[in-house]
Amino acid sequence: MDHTAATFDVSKVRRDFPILAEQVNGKPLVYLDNAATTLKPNRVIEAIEHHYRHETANVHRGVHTLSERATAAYEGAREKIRRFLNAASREEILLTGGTTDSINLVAQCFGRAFIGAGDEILITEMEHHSNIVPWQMLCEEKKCVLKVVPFNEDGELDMDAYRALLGPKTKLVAAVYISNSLGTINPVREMIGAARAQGTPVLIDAAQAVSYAPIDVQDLDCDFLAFSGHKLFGPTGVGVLYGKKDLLNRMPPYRGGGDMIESVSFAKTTFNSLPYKFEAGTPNIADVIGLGAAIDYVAEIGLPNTHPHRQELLRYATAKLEEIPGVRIIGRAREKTSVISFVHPDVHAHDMGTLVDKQGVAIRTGHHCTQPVMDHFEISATSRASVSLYNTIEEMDILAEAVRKAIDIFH
Amino acid sequence: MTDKDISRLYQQVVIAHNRDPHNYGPLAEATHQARGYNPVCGDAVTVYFSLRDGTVTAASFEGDCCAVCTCSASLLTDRLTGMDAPAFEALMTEFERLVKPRRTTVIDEQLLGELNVFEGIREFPSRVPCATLPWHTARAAWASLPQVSTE
Repeated sequence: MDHTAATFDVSKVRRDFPILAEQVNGKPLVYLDNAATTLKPNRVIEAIEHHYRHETANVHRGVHTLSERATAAYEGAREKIRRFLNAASREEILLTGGTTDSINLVAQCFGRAFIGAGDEILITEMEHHSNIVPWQMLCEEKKCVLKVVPFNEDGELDMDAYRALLGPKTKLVAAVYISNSLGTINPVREMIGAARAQGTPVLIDAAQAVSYAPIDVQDLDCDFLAFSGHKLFGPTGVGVLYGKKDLLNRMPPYRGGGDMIESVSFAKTTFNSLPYKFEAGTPNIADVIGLGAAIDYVAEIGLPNTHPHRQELLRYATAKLEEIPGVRIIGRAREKTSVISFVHPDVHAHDMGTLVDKQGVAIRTGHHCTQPVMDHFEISATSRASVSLYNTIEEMDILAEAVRKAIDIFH
Repeated sequence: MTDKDISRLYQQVVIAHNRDPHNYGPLAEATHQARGYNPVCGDAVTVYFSLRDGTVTAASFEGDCCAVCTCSASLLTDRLTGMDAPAFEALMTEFERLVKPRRTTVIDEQLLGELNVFEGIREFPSRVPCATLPWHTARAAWASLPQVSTE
């Protein structure tokens, strides 16, 4: 593969994703549900298959050859993830089931230990439910208070409100980097800076951001960062929690079992060191290896090389959809990427989703697990087209045509 | 799937009811009401009816839902008036059989009447809950029926 800035070639990239050859309802697949999950390149599929065919074994405990192979591949993937995030140490890379699992780990281990009655947790109005509900559960248990930073009509965070809400009682800021329903890129660097200035830890939900831009956790200076493998062209069921080592060391584990212990007796159990303290039980070995392959893949392509193409897709599709009478785009932030949410007064999102699917176009419809965002705009659902590096301008034309056809049925 | 499947789902009756639903809006004299919500897609519908001597005298609905759900609620509230609980249950049972993806038995088309318009939804399993939501909501409204409702 040779994906350099000068040669970023969509048709070449498309050949890496076998599912793009699929026909849907007799039409070529136009996959525009990338914010829900990205497609998987051959390299990821082959890495998972290779593991099961040639190195199936448990990790960290066998002395036999296959176990050593599996452990090397598994820990090799952790090292790839460390490099991908530029974390200082592999001990700061916890392997989880996904972004939701990672956030729950912070809520259970950091939250329950360090957040108490009257303390505040600061989130934003555009969080995914996975970065709302764990904090509500914690607030219920610990009698702490959830504070919410609002956004404006364009879907941009109110940074004055953020600074005003950030106070001595704020024990954690938990914020989304890129909104899955609006596409807004939040000024996380500025948010982290303000929080860190007063010693408040920050958790970044990077689920959407991870496939968009390279992330350097040391440069960002966030305390926690969560993402899912399946939104980075990797498999489902695997994710990452980055955490600063001193914080992770101070946090108690919340799931007990094998692998997370150093020694066990009925009198006393000693916990294992990082990262294993938080990884009880046999992990999702094959999918972690698959995620490692996905990281190799994006490293070769170079995410910044894809930016001009992706931003052109966003600009073009937005313009095409806006040409259609009645279509209203939800989320018009100046700093925005990859996501086009829209509504039409005569066509409910579910009907839109079914109708464009018949043209082979896969979009997501509904509240996108962001009901507070829907409430903000006083709507119940949107249709959402989300693009990735393998989408083409021609596909944006097919989307716009499919939306026109859907509206025609209702007129 | 073809355009034919699409036109079986979005028949003119569905489009018409979506544009101009029957019995839309709250019912001032309602003795029974329930709110139905599908957390998967966000469809929300409220069904109202008033009951006298065990029989529905008026019914209505309101909600923020797709064309399939709107048409289903529109036709349901048309049929509710004049029904007692067993009649509603019989109709709902038949409606659920109609929309079930892998149906093997014969449907009572005469009982269903205009509701036969949903026959094509079997080809769209993900949309079946859109059609059945108003019915489950109506059933919930019946269930909260106070013991003292009839004279």
